[in-house]
Formats: sequence, structure tokens, C-alpha cells
Amino acid sequence: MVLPLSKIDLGETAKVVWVASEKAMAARLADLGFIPDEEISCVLKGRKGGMRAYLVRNAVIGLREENINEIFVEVNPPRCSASLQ
Amino acid sequence: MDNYHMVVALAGNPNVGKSTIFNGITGLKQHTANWPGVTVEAASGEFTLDGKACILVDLPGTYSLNTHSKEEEVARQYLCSGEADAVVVVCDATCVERGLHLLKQILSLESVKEHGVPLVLCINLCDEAGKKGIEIDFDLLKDVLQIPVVSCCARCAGDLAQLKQAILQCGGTRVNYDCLDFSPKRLAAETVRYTRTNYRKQEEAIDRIVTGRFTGTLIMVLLLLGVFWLTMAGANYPSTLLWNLLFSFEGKMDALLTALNVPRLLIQALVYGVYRVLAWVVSVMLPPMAIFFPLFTLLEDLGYLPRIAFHMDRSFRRCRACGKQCLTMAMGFGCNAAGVIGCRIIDSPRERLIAILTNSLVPCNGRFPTLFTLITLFFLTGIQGSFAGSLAAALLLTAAILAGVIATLACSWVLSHTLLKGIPSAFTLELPPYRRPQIGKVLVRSILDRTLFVLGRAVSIAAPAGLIIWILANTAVRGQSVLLHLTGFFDPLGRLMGLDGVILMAFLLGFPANEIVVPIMLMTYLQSGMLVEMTDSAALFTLLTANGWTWKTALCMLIFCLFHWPCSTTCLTIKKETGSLKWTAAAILLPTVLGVVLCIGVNAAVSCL
Repeated sequence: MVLPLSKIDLGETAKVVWVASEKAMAARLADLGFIPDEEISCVLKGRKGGMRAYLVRNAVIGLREENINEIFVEVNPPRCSASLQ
Repeated sequence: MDNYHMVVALAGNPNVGKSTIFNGITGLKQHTANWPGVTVEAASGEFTLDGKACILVDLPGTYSLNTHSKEEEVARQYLCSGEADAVVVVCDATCVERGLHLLKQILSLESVKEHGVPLVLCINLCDEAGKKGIEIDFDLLKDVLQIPVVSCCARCAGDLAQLKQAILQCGGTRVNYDCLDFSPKRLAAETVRYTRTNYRKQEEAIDRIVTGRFTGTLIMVLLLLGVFWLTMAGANYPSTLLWNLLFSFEGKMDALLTALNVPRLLIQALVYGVYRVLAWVVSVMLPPMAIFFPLFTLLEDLGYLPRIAFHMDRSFRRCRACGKQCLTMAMGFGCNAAGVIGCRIIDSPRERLIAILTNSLVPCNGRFPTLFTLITLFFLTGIQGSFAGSLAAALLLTAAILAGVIATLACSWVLSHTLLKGIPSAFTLELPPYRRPQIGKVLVRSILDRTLFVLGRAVSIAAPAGLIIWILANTAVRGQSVLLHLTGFFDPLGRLMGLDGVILMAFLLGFPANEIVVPIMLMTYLQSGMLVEMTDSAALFTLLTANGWTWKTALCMLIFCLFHWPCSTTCLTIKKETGSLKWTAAAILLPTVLGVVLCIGVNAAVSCL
């Protein structure tokens, strides 16, 4: 099921499906590893309306709520052949 | 560059320790800290390789070479210029995959490919990775990449020798990269093994507390309070000791110079003008700074600052500013000029301007001593020197700093709703792993680089200023000294603001360096015929009250010290960074107007009571 990243709870892992941010931000996010098929997990949820942090490529990246809503992920993706590697 | 054997560039992701390697090899002192974006412009230094002089260039850290921000542009342009004879790509051992992505991008640069510029991959922070149970197969990396791969922990000297050896071996060679192709993701997956799956547990737990809803703010304020309390309590005794020591020389110097038949007038100028002020500057400024700066550097090295930025982002977002402004604000505590340069980590031009314009609203190094002095002298009568006294002083100082932070937020809000309208832009904030600071190095670095630098600046400007003021005070025009004419001119405005002409003039003369505001003020008072015996630090209090000071004067000066024009260095930096006189003027006017209005308001309010 495809969800916005904001729906992912603390400690949960998901796979990026689509990044809908505007161009510059999408490029920056891609540099950091927010690209389709990459696994990310939520490691830190601050105050309501504040930033949240995600573990991606083994680094912790903080993002604002509005940007988190622009990233769409898939939870428990069905294992599809050996295309992962 | 022709005189050098070779030029080596250091490239890599942000916060992987490039500057630490740079400092280790060149022996220079680039500022390092544990958060991404400390280096924003390329720095270069010399080092010798096998007896030949070489140049090492420290590039700002980049996630990629796609140029989204200024520092990425700096790095990209340098790598494309073809100036580098070799490139060391530094990579964090805990984040190998990201480093490999950058390596691949560098390898695909035309200038690197065509000239066959030799590359060295340096896997840094291996000690940290080892502690986290991360194992890296270096042989496999070497086999796949076909370039030298050096494992390194920049803090160990032996590894740096290995790195130099690798640079030496590839120097002057041309490498053919045509056959090199790899997938960073797959290569990282094959070479890096995580033996401990839960190594992030502890860090996540700490992060949850320091960015927690209530605990986050509480810890932030308590840490600030703790740092100030240690500073105040710890500085008390050495300050008195230094004071007694330095002032015991005064009489001896006088006697010695008299014995040498130096004219009386000159003795007065040198001993009671210049020396007295220097002694004051050293004994009052040195001890608190020698405690405060190492503590602040420790927090910086630990990696706590990005957590504050993370936690405070909500407030900055409401002011339509960038959360990274919190980091530049923290840099402003060290030096506002450095803070203004640091604003380059903010990508959006609108938000960068807001951060630049509001940077001098937090007190820098040079202004802390003034705050320390005013607080200890005027708000702690009776409890001075006791435990309660130092705690109260720390509380007041924390309040002053928080006032600066609140003013920063308020001004950001006003700016983004008037002059710099716009919606907040997107940004990413990396939270680096906590790193154990090297206490010894922190001590040496912060005392040598920061404390002595600030003190040196204060002394070198205070000494000539002392002489000028002494001359002004002793040159009479129309029956009155020039100094009195000057202070008399500023007096009406000063009084309106709850200060006096002397204080205002001291702030004006303190434009080159904020450190000398209090010394200039003291000198002026001393020259106005109010000579008091400088037997102990209480003499300072007597001197000030004799000149009509009350706690109201101190409070207004405290406010004006927090909010007035930035120092000359900061102004020049703002001009350079914004490239516009208009914005420089705005950066000067904003805090000045705020300070003047606040002072007049507070003065009026207190007078009404």
C-alpha cells in the first residue's frame, strides 16, 4: 500500500515509491537517498508540527512536515524476484 | 601554484572529518565541529611530501556535485577547474554508500576523466565504525575500484602518514578510468558488514530525550545555565588572583619609570592610561573565556547543536525562516562574522538574508565579557562570590541569551512578513552521530584559537585606544578637554536611553571590536578626574557609582550591549556576503533601532515606577 511518509510511525521501515517534491528539493532528497526502492525508517519524531528524522543510507536526516508529506512510501513491499541487488 | 610539486584536493560528504584531516596534514587550524557545513569555502594549506612542497585544498562537504547550494558550487567548480593534481575523496566509514555515490560522480567529471586525475579513497572515522560493529572489506573495495583505498581515523597520526604515502605514490600518474564502473549501492552492500544490528539503539534513545516535547527545551536551557554557571563560579577566584597580581605591578612600574627619569606625564599616560586598562582587560576577560570557550567547543564537537536546530525548527518555521538558522545563530555566539559566513549553509536566498540580518542579535565572544562584568557588578550585591551569587549570575546571563534568541525569532518573523516576504523553503538537516570530543585537543584549540585570539584583539585595540583617550582627555579646547566635549555631545541621547554620553561614545569607539567597550568606558571615567585606587574589583563598582551608575544604567547597557550595530568585521562580512550596501545598512539599522527603542522604553518604564 502506498502512503505518504508522514504516516510511517517511529521505528517502522518503508520503501520509497515516489518523491513529489519540487525540483530542487527532489534533487537534494535524491542525493541523500530518498529515491525509489531505497529503504528508510523513521527514527525520531519531535513535537507535533516539528521536524521528523529518518534513517536513510545509514545517516539520520531531519525533514519538515510538509516535505515528509511529499514523499510516498510502501510498507511491507512484496518481495519481487532478485531485482533488489 | 607552479612552485609546488602537486596540488591535492580533499573532497567528500559533509561532516566526514575533511577539515580534521586537513588540519592534521597541514598543521593549520581550520575550525572543525560535529555538524555538516562547518567549512563553507575552500581553504588551502602547505605540506611537504617526500621533501617537496605541496598544497592541500579543503573543499566544503557536498552530498553531490549537482550544485543546489553555494558550497556545492565551490566544490564542483574547483574539481572541474583541473587545478588539482590528485583528489582525496574522504568517506565516513559509517556511511560508505553515500561516499561511494559522490566518488562515482567525481569519477564521471569530464576534467577528472580526461586528465586521468589520480583519486585516493580515504575511509575516515574507522574507529567510530569499529565501535559500532561495522566491518569494511578494504581489499574488496580496492579490487573493485582499482584506486588506492586508505583506512583512517584522522585523529591518529599514523593513519595520516599512510594517507600521505598513498598521495605520494599516485602523484604525477595518469589513471585510465574507462573500464571502471560500479554500483555504489551494491558495492557498499558487499563490502560493509554490520555485526551489531542494534548499535543505533542508544543514540536513538538519547535523541528522543534531547528533542523531546518538554525535555528538549528543558535540557537546552539547563545546559546553557550549566555552562554559564561553571563559567561564573570558576572564573571568580582566578580573576581576583590575576587582578591582584597585575595591579601589584602598577606601583612598581611607576617607581621604575620615575627612577629612569621618564617624564611624569608619559608615566601617567603609560601606567595609569594604557597599563591599567590592559590589566583590567586581562584579569576580567581571560578567566571566564578560558572556561566558557572550551565548554562551548565541547558541545559543538559532541554533535548537540544539530539536535537543538532540529528541536527549534518549529519556532523558526513559524517565523518562516530556515531551521538551519539555528546553527548559524549558534555560530554567532562564537563570532558574528563567522556566523554570517556560515549562513551559506542556508540555500534559499530569502532565508539566508534573514539569517544574516539577525545574526548579530546574539552576543558574540567580544560581548560576553561586558555581560559578565555588568551582571556580577550590579545585580548581585550582597551575594557576590557565593554559590547563590554565581547561580544567580548564570540565570541572568541565560536570560540575556534567551532574550537574544527571542529577538532573533521576532525579527525573523517581522522580516519575513515585511521586507523579505515569502514562504519557507524546503531543506534537509542531517543529524550526525554523537562523537566523543577529545578533551585535550578541545582545551588547547579553544584556548589558543578562541580565547587568546579574542584577548589579543582586545589588547591590541585597547592599548592604542587607551592612549588616544588619554590624549583627548588632556587636550583642552575652549577651557574644556576634547573628551568632555565629545561625551557632552552624546549625553542627551545617552540619558534618554538610560545610559550616559560616555557609554554611548564607548560603544561608538568599540566599533572595531566590541571587546573594548568597557575598557574605553573605564578609561574615560578615569580621565574625567575620578581617579580611584584600584585595590580590588570592588573599586570598579565604586568608580561606576561615582559616575552616577545605578542598576538601571547597568540594565540599559546590558540591553544595548545585546542589541546594537555589528562590529566592523561583521559589517564588512555582511557587505561581502550580500553584495549589497542596502542590506548591509539594514543589518546595521535593525539591531541598532531595536536596542535604542528597547533602552528608551525600559528607561521610561523604570523611571515611571
